[in-house]
Amino acid sequence: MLYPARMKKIQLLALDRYQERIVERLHELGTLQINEGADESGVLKSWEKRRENVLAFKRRAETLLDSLEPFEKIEKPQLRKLIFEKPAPFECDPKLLNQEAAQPYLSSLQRKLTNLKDRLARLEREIERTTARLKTIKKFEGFKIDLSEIRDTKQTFSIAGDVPMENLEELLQELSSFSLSLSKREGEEKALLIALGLKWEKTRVVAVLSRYGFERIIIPEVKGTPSELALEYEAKLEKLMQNNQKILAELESLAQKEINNLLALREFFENKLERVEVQQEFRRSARTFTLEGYIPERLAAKTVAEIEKVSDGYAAVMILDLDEDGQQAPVMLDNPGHIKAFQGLTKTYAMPRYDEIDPTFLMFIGFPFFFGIMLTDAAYGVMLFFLSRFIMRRFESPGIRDIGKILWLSSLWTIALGLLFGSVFGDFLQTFFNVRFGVFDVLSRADVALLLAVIVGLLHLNLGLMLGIKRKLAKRDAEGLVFEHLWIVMLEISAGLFVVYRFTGAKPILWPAALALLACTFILFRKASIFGMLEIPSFFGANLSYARLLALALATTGIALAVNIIAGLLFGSVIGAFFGILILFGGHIFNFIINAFGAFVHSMRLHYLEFFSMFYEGGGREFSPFKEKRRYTKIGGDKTW
Amino acid sequence: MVVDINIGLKALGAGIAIGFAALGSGIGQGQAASAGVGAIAEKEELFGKAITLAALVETQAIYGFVIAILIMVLLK
Repeated sequence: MLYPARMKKIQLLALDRYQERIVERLHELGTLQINEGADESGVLKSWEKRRENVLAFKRRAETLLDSLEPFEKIEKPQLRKLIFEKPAPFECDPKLLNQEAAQPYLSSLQRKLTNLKDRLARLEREIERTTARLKTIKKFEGFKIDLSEIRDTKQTFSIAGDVPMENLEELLQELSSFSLSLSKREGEEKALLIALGLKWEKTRVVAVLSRYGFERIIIPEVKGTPSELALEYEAKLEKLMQNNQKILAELESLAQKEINNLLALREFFENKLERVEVQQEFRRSARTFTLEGYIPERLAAKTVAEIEKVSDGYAAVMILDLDEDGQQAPVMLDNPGHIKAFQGLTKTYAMPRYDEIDPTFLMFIGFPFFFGIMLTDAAYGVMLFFLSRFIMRRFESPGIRDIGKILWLSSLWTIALGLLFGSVFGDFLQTFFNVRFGVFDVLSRADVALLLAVIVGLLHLNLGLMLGIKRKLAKRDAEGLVFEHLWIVMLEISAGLFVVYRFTGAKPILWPAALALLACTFILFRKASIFGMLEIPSFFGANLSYARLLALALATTGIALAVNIIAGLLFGSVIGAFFGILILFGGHIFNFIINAFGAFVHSMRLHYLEFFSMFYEGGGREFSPFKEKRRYTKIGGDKTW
Repeated sequence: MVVDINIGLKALGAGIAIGFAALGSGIGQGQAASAGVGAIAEKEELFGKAITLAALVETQAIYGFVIAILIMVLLK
């Protein structure tokens, strides 16, 4: 718990014919990290072909998934469901999870989908064409002529189009010199003009028209008056739209039915692919293969037993101690229960080195406590408690659930410290019900609270200092011990003795105090000459930084107080009470959110910057096991791949 | 109502201490946070470090706050 999991090296030698079974079992167990390092001999001739085969299946599932996902009907989240109902369990057809069943299933689904999408594309094209025609026909509404008559004949021509209204009069005047039959309908900005004339005049008429900004409308080859045609096309469009909706509904139902199966299949083939690809890391002889890797010590015996079981005893497994380069071993954080939730915070900063302390347990102790001090309000603690339970219940992602667990632990400290300092929505109980309780009021005794915050900081820093000293001693790093830690010890001894002198006035204490201070300055001077002295204010700065525990606690209480005062001023009339309640509600929610976020960030920061700088190096390589990912599928399915 | 000038001067001093410290800290935090947002856009896993760096600058405001408390409490 205080150190990363102990690791061992594992070497395995087995006959080729057990390779599939061993790889599959190791993949299911997920207990070892396989080292890279095969040469060309590691690649079987058939390997590439098998890889291509699995990859093709995976891609087919992915392509179908991409095609169907746009049609998936996603229900709008309802607050009631979100809070009170657990998400529905994932359901799929487990019989599909093998090559023989997947092949026809994917082909049939592909055919269905292609057919539906082709029909949809044809319909959409038809809808587009019909809409465009209807739009053109509607332009001629009001003209009681058959549109099929507006066509060129042997001797005559016809032309229709829009003219800007401001040009209409002049255009008509100029066109009067031709033998034309003109029909027009005036609009606000444009006029629609239909001209029928003699063919030998067409070129000149068109030239005149274009000078006046005439925009020609191509009349579709249809028969009937515009009003008759509009009715006909509207009916056609409605029918097309109905068909369109029908196909979309079919696609939605197909998506609803098949997406879960496709998700499961994709995951299934991803895992298969991983199993095939890992085999190129193996070294080979004519009939055997070997693999090397790292395994957590506590899982080694079980893994060896499982390998022997699936290989009928025809595998040689060696579990070896780490050699001198063991410090390069991958690091697996190994914490039980709720402590595990804090591993993410440790990783966010840096993975510890293999031989270094894992600070997760220390964060498990310190983080919620600091959070509780900074929020310090029983009511906000209760709100946080319910929020964290909701996060833990509602979300499936392990990372988010871990945040929920961290907030849950933090809420317990917040409630406890809120009750200790008598804070429930700030001074709500005092303002509105004249109820007082708590050890002391943080707002009026800020000096005591500041002293407490600095003492908490000093204890926290000294815990880090002790861990740092322990690590340096274990590494036999005398130089590091003196220049990084011993001067702090001297400084603290000196400061402590000066404090004792301040209260007792015992002068003999001054000598050791001065000597300790001298030793401290000597070390720092040797470390970085005069610039080394800067470390002293820097250490006091780190200690003073814990004053933020008080600062954030005060900010929470202060804002809550302001909200209560403003709301209290309004409680005189019914309307005032209404707004008062609104302000209480909104103000306290705002205060809760802003300060909970602040408490989280600052708790993190106190650990990362002040605490970790005392002992933590980090920089380890995370253990990355050969492990299948199973979000949608369960163990089982095809064993003969 | 007669108010002791000492109380007024103490309040003024505390206000200046926290006010200027918070102003400087705020400007710095703005710069650190905007750089952090840029970094996260490029590399999402830097979120933890970016938020820590943004919070780092707040220390100066904390010093101002401590000075303000000390002025109000210790200067009788």
